[in-house]
Amino acid sequence: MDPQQAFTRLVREQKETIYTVCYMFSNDPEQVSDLFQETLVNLWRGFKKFRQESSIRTYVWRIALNTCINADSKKKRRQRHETPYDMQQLESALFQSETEQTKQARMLHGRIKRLDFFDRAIVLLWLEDLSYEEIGAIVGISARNVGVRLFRIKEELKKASATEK
Amino acid sequence: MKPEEISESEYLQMKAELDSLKQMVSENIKLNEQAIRRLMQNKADELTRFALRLSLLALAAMFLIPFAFYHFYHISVAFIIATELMMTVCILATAAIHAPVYRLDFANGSLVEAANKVNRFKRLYTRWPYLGIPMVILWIVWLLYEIYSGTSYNREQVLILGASILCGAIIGGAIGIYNNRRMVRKADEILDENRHLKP
Repeated sequence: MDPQQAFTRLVREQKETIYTVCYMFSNDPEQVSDLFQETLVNLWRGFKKFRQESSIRTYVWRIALNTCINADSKKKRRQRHETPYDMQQLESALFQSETEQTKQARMLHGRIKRLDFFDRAIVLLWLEDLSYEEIGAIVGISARNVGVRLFRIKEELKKASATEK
Repeated sequence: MKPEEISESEYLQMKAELDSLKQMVSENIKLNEQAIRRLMQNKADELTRFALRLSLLALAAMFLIPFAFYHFYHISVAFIIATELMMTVCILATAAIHAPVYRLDFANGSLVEAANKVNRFKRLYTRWPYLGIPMVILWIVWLLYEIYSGTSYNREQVLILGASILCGAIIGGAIGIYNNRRMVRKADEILDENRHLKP
């Protein structure tokens, strides 16, 4: 398959994962949109070199998380003449409406935004049912350390929920 | 094996919230596949084009600035050589600081590795003014002296020229320091995040 076709298929199949990561690292719709576009650019840059040593899912997670963690939050907004996606409907659903679905998404965002960047990455990967070894390989820590971190993260989330109640 | 302490119900609740979000994204985001293709075509070469433009600009500056100094202001050869050396140092230092980031492989390194590389790049950025600013100040002082003592301009013309040079130096310096501070702030954020990750 032509690399461009393969890449377009990848974006179509993984757009939920990419957007979820971007959303968990910002609460501003424009910034989320910027992160999404930057992630697509980084995915494409690495795509031709992608060595199939890990799964495509791991590849997408690495790029999305690296992009969001290393993004400059105060970077001037790029002028967007043409974007590879239409987000108006999604932004309206996620940032303005009050459906049960939206409340659930915001609840998750509210819990996770309290954590530092690497802990957010660990939680998201854990919720995606990656093994501790896989999470450790992506983050750059041992599987044992992942378990310890997850325990601490869970305690933090519990405290935060108790405070809210 | 997950530690027993991790609550299954909390995991299921967060999983349900995540699934909700993903479903919303799936239903509401519409990809423009033609625009994705155009993005691929443009962005792939953008970095190379940018690096090429910057290199040509640097080479042009290295030739034109000393030429202008020598031809229009009859400035000493020693000053021109020093200027060439200074620009060479600046260009090589900029390339050396930026190269690891341009070669950064987000696809195959871990998050910690990538963050550390970006952080090292930004730390170099913070150290650069300690060399760059004294170098530029010395150069400006020398330039003003060369113009004052070496040209046939009258006093008024020299003062106007000197004032223009100082204005340019202040504006350029302010822009450079602003950009540098921005990088330093981001480096501190990453440092904090990384520190928390160590067991």
